[in-house]
Parts: sequence; structure tokens; C-alpha cells
Amino acid sequence: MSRIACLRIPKFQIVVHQKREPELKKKAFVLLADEQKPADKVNLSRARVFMCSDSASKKYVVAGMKWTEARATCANLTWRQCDVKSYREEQKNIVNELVVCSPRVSAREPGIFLLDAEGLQRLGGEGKLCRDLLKLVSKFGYTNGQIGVADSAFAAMVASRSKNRWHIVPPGRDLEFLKPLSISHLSLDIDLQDVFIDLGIKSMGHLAQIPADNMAERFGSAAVNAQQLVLGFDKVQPSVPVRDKKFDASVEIDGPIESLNQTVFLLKSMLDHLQRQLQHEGYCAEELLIQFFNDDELFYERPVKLVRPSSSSTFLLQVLRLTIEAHPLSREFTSIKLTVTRFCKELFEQTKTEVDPDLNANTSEQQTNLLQKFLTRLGENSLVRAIANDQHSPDVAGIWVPVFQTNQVVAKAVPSLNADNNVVKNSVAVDTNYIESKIGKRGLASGLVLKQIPNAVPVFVEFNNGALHAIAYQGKWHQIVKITTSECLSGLWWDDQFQKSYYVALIEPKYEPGVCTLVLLVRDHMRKTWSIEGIYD
Amino acid sequence: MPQFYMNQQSVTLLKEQFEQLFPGKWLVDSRTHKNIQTGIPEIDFGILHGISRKRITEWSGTFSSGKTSVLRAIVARWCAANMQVVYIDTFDRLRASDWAFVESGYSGAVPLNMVPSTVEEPGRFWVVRNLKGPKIEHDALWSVEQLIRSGMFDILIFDLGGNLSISSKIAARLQRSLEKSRTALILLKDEDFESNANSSWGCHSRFSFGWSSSSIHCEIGLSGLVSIIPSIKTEMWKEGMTKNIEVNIQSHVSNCLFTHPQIPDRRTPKA
Repeated sequence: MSRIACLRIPKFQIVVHQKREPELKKKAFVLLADEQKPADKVNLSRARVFMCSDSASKKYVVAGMKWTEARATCANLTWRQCDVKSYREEQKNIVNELVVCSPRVSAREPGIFLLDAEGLQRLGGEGKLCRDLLKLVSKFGYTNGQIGVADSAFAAMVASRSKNRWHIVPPGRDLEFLKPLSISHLSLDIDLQDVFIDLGIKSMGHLAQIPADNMAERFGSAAVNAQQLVLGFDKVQPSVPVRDKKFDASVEIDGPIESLNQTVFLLKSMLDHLQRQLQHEGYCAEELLIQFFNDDELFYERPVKLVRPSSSSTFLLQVLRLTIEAHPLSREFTSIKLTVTRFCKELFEQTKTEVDPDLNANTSEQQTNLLQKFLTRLGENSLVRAIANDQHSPDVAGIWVPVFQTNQVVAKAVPSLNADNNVVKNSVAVDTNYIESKIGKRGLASGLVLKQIPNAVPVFVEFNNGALHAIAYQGKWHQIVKITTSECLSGLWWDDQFQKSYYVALIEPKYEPGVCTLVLLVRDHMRKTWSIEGIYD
Repeated sequence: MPQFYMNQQSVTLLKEQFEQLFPGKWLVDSRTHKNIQTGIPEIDFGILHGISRKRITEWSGTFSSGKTSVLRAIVARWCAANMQVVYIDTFDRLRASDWAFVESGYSGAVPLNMVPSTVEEPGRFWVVRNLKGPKIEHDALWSVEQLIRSGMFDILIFDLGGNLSISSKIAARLQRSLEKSRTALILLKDEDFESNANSSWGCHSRFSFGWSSSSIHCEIGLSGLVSIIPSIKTEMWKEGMTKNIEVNIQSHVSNCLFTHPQIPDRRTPKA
């Protein structure tokens, strides 16, 4: 069972304005809800009161009135426009401060904050949390805060509406607390609320008694959700707050500057700083805001949208240079501020590599350039892919095919030994379905990676009681620690006949024990030689 | 300690299962993330958090140490996750049959604790080979730079062998190219037995591999030993911190099967 505290600051928006303009504290003022338009274009004849200060309330001004009506009620009434952005910022600031009381804090509607109140038994209890919270927010000018503590967020929010400074609902008693209270605490649709009242369902206790099936059938999902809240099934939980990231740079100059070159020079150093910040955090800029000031007076402000997110200072400098050239500065400046107004996580996804056998096909120019460079400088066989070849000899069980031809090989499935291409001609496609059906997918590949030695190294072999005992390799005698039984393969008699026995041997220098090497030891029966053809790595 | 690894693996598996149920919430998509995950929990959740894009990672070990086998298993996983991988085989040492099914997500020997993956849309695995002539080093470095700049590949593996080395000048140049791209550069390096971890310049992180002589897995067949697979010791290094792990490899015995129904015509031997 969780414990959640809800801090409620009544008339939060009013307090924010009063904090910003202290002279409003003594005046009757209202907030007008016409947030779409700037303050100088508010149509006062149509605007309605969204919220009013205590002084205005005392003079019978209420929310919902038209401004003209409110003004007629209170002659010295002043107004301010709702500023949702600043309310959000203020909420974030409060959340960042509340973290000292609880690690999980979330802001809900303006003026409502949820905190995790779990595990406070040995830290002074929930009462101490309430006192600490009120003391903390009072420091920031919010002196009329109220707190509710309960098991669920909904019950805590309801408890925070009580007349006392704080109200603690004992653990497991949420339903008892909510039962006598009016259903007006549930944010129900007005029509639905009227229906409930007409039916005599006036308290949350009444609502809780209705069977859930009947509730869903008769009143719909909104009523079921409301009932769930009353019964304590509230999914809302406070979370760990995430600090906002800010990327900006500013420069103040001793003397005024006007020339473009000097401006670009300054911007370069600022962008280098921004680039370091962005790359450190793993972000890319999507939009910049450049501002020029002359003695604290902002005279040039321009948002710069980027076609694609970038953190490259070179690219951003070019964009800013073009912006200033297109919209020149009207006067000299003494300081610049550069802010990244929009940014996103840096993506590391690369360009897709799809090679089409048709050279005229639509491949990216980047890819074409790369392939052309390799083709010209290193030749056609420089960039290859490994293709399986249906041969039992390990040397020819796979072939390297230039990337230009790869798709041709796969597409033709190569039973055609008459194909024009030399590489394709000598390959036989592997029936992977057959292998998968017989021994599973693991049968497609096995063992460690062999690194071939271009010219097989001949070795002397020492036998002991008819078994391989040691080999002379790289001028040293190596003792054979372990060796597999031979895999005897022969074939290709119609082309280049071979008869070989392959051994995998773990060898160790006789006089430097501890450094083992795993080698492919081969007995060529036709040439009667022993050699090492590769080393397992 | 093994119990701890097992727990890590179980957690990773659980995350993968949850990711299938609730996509985008449990696993980091390596295609779009700064660090590329390898599927080996000790690498992905230890001091390294995977292989970093825009950085140089050194993947070193003695000539025979299991480093390329581990890398191949990881490459197969990357391809299965629709990432593009390119390998510069400077000295033409790779055998095509070992890498033929990497794009399909199969790699032969696989670390035991590697989290299994499924292939939905396979990525590409390209190899740069046949760099011949006296300027092999120049051509290889030119290829590295071009491939990084192309912005097409998520991972670039550069086989330095035992002879090539990266000087401070070249490292700085590669790092500059990497800064402008999203590629992770892996330097695959063979070290001498005697050398004491002679690392390359400018490496962001380093892996050092070697066979574990104490733990060798042998498969017994009908007529004797049929496969030898030692465990692999790995030392990971990043910013002064190190961690040692032991990777156990599992692989089945190679089984050569003729799958092609057409029998070669034996009546016309080559003269």
C-alpha cells in the first residue's frame, strides 16, 4: 500500500502574478481567459474572468463573469492575462525544490503537487512531512498551501481541500474518509452528476455501493472510472522529476561591434561551446534562437529552424551566417545570446546499404560514391561478401563474392554451372532448408574462426608410440597437448585433386609452457607432407 | 562469481522477453544508441556499457587467443539486429566458409552466456580484401577512412595483424573522422607472446584475450576426440578501470553434408 501526499496551493495562478508584481497584492485583480491572443490584443468586451484575487472576491467578483460585468461590480478592478507558460515554469521550479522532502514529486494541475509519502515512520512521520512542506513552500511566497495525505492520489487530493492546513487519512481508511463526501469532488460530466443527484446518489459512499456491472451498463466508462477512484484504484503516482536541459551561450563585449566577420568570429566560439554541451549530453539542435542586445536592449531576435537536427558547429555556423546575411543587423551590438530552443536525442542510425545488381538502380549517392572509390582504387574484388558454397572441403566451402555480384549469386541460386561469371561458375548454392531440417540451424556454421596462413607452413612431426607427439613450428618444438582424430577428405579429382587429413591440435612450446596455440595441422597424402594451414583465433 | 553472471544473464533474458511484449521500454536499440550492445552481459553492463560509437576500441590478443571467434559471434548478433558491419581483412586471412552465415545470425562457436537473438531484418557484413602490393598499409588506412566517412556502417573492424600499428598521428586522424560519423571502430590486433600489452594510440576501451589453459572443453566422438574448444580469458579496460572475465564457448562438431542433389559429372575429367 502506498502513501501519497498532495500539496494544494489555492489560486496558484493569482499567487504567481502577485509574486511577479508585488503591487498586485493590495489590489483587486482578475485573470482573463483569452490566452490565444497577446496582452495588447485582448478583446475586453468579450473576455471572461478566469480567476480572481481574494480582494476581488470580497467585492463580489466571481469566475465566469464577463470583464465588463466584473468592472461594473468593482470599479478599481485591474486585469492580467493568463500566462500558462509562466505557470508551468513556476510549477517546475517548485517541483525541483520539493525534491528535498521526497524523491518522487509530480506536478498535476496548476497548484497541485503529488509527493511520495512512503516510509516516513522513522523520519518523524507524515505530520513532519506536512510541516516541512508548508515551511518550504512558504519560503517561496506560497503561504496558503494545504496538504492531504492518503493511500491514493485521489483521496489525498480530496483531503487537501479540508479546512485544516493538513489532513492525514489513516492508512487503509480512504473509503471511510471519502464515503460521506459529495460526488462533486469527482470531476464528472455535469449531466452525469445531475443524473446521479436525481437518482439520490449524492455521496461517494452511495456511488461505491452500486455494483460495477450495473454501473458500466447504465452510466458508461466515466462513471466506472469515478467509482474506481472512490474504491481506491487510482493509478496516478508521483514520479522522479526530470530536470530540464538548457543549452545556451552568451557573450558580452566591451565595445560595440557591427561587422559581420567579427560577429561570425564570436558566434564560432559560442557554437563550439554549445557543440560540446550538446555532444556531452547526446543531443542535437533542432531550432536555435539568436538574440542581439545593445546595452541590455534587445533589438534583434530570430529563430532559426534547421532542416535536420545537428550538433556540428561548422554546419550551425554556416546557417547562422546565412541568417544574418539575409536579415542584416540594423545597428551595432554589445552582447549576443544563442539559445537552443528545440533539441532532440542524437540518433546513431546509419544509412541503409542495399546493393542492387543493376548499377542504374536507385542507390544512395553516398553508397555509389563509396563503391566507385573502391572499384577505382582497389579493384572489383576489394569489397566482398562471404557466400556459402556446397563443398565438403573447408577451403572451398565458402567463396568471396564482390558486392556488386552478390545479389546475382543469391538470385540465381546457382545450380547453373554455365553462368558467365567466373565466381558464380564455381559455386554451388547450399540448401539451407535441408540442413535445418536434418540437424537444425546450428548445422549451418560450426567451430572457431580459422585464420589462414597464405602459404601453408611445413612442419616436422614427431611420433611417439604411433601417435603425434610434437611438431617443429617457427623454429621451436611444440608439444601437442590435445589433438582431434583426423578428418580425412579427398575430392575434386576432376579439377585439382586433393587427399588430406585434417587435425585440430592444441600445441604448447616445449620450453615456454602456458602459451597455447590452436592450429589446423594437415597431412597431405599426395605430397606426403605435414603443414599448418591456419590458426584458430 | 559464476552465480552472479548467471543472474545477469537471466535479467538480460527477462528484459528481452519483456521487450517483445512491450517494445521500446526494456532494451536499448543499439541501432540508434550511442553504445552498441554485444549480447554478452559482462560487456554490456559492466564498466564498458557495450562498444562506443565514434570511438576506437582495441580488440587484442595473441595470434591464437579466441578474439576473432568472440568477435564473430558478436558480429552475427549485430547483423541479426539489422546493423551494418564491415571488416578490413588486411592480410586476407579469413576463410569465407566461417563467415558465410554471419548475416543470417549464425556464427558457429558462441559464448555460453550470450543472450540469444532473433533475426527479423538482417544487416550486411562486408569484407575488404585483396589489398596487395607494397602500399598495403596505406590502402588499408585509406579504406578505413573512406568507410567511416561513408556513414553507412555501424561497426568497422580493422585487422591490424601483428605488423601494423596505429601511430598518434593516424589515431588523431581516425578520431576526427569518427567524430563526424556514427561508426564504432574496432582495431583487431595480434600481439606477440612477449609483448606487455602494447596498446594502440587513442583507444577509448580495450579488450585483451587469451586461451584459458585450465578450462578446455573437448568433445568425444565415436573414434576419439572430435573438437577442442578452450575457454577464453578476457581483460576489459576503460579509463584506468579493468575487469577480468572468462568466456566459455559452445559449438557443435562440424558436419559436412552434401546438400546439393546434383552429382558432378565424373565422365569428363580435366586433362
